[in-house]
Amino acid sequence: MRTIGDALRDADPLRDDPVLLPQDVQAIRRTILETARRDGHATAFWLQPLAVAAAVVTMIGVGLIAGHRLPAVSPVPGLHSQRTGIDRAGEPRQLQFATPGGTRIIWVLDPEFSLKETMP
Amino acid sequence: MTGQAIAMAVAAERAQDDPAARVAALFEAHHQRLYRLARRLSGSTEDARDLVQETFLRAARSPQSVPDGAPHEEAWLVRVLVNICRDRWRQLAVRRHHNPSLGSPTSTAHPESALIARRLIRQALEQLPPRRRAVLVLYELEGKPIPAIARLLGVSAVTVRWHLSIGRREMVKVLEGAVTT
Repeated sequence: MRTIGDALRDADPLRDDPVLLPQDVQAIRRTILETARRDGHATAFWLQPLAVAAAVVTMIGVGLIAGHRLPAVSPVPGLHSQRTGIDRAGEPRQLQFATPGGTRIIWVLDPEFSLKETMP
Repeated sequence: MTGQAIAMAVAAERAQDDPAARVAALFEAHHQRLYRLARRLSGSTEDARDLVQETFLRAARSPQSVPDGAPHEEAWLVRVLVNICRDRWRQLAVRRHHNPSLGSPTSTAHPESALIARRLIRQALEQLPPRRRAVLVLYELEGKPIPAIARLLGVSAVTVRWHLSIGRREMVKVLEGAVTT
């Protein structure tokens, strides 16, 4: 009784093509050696995540140092506020500022204003 | 240590430092064995040659990922070759899904029945998933024992037996189908 193994041995393609031809061997060798010379010196696989981690730590460090050294800036860039008026009790106070577009805004703060009185 | 052993150790050290030398040594040691497996797994000499080249190209692109020692090197190369085979098989399956005419067998109208039978068997083998095909080839044609196949493919012996059993059954089914049609 013929088994699958017998059938496979009968149909073995190596009967017709037992070895890689010398010209194919030369062509493949040339191609892989060129690739190895070009790409083979690529950095080790564990160096790449290490480099990314080092870059992140450096950026955080530089950010922290810069944050401590630079003077405090306005919370809204381009918005220059100016407090004017008199601080004396009972008198109105003004808050003037200019928007980046150039519009000057003046808020007059009423010291007598009570939020409770506005509520129904 | 003898002079020859020292020379071999120096050559191995040099190969470690120089990727091209390492890949050249790998190629010299394994290309014919890999070709035999590739030829049995693929439908033509050209496909087998492409498979061998692609396998060694992967080694050439990252020689540091190839483990040291001949048995480990061989296992790594065989696994890469089977994986490439699987990728191609999946791509072909997708193409067949969109174009069913690709799945039809190639010419079987050869006058000699023995040749037809051989072609049918090869086609039946080609229809198996690549890992199963590799198990059948390694066991039936190369005569490797199951534990050795398991080590080579990086799977358990139980998995190898399972692929062997299912593979034989699938081949019988395909061959019976081919004979009745």
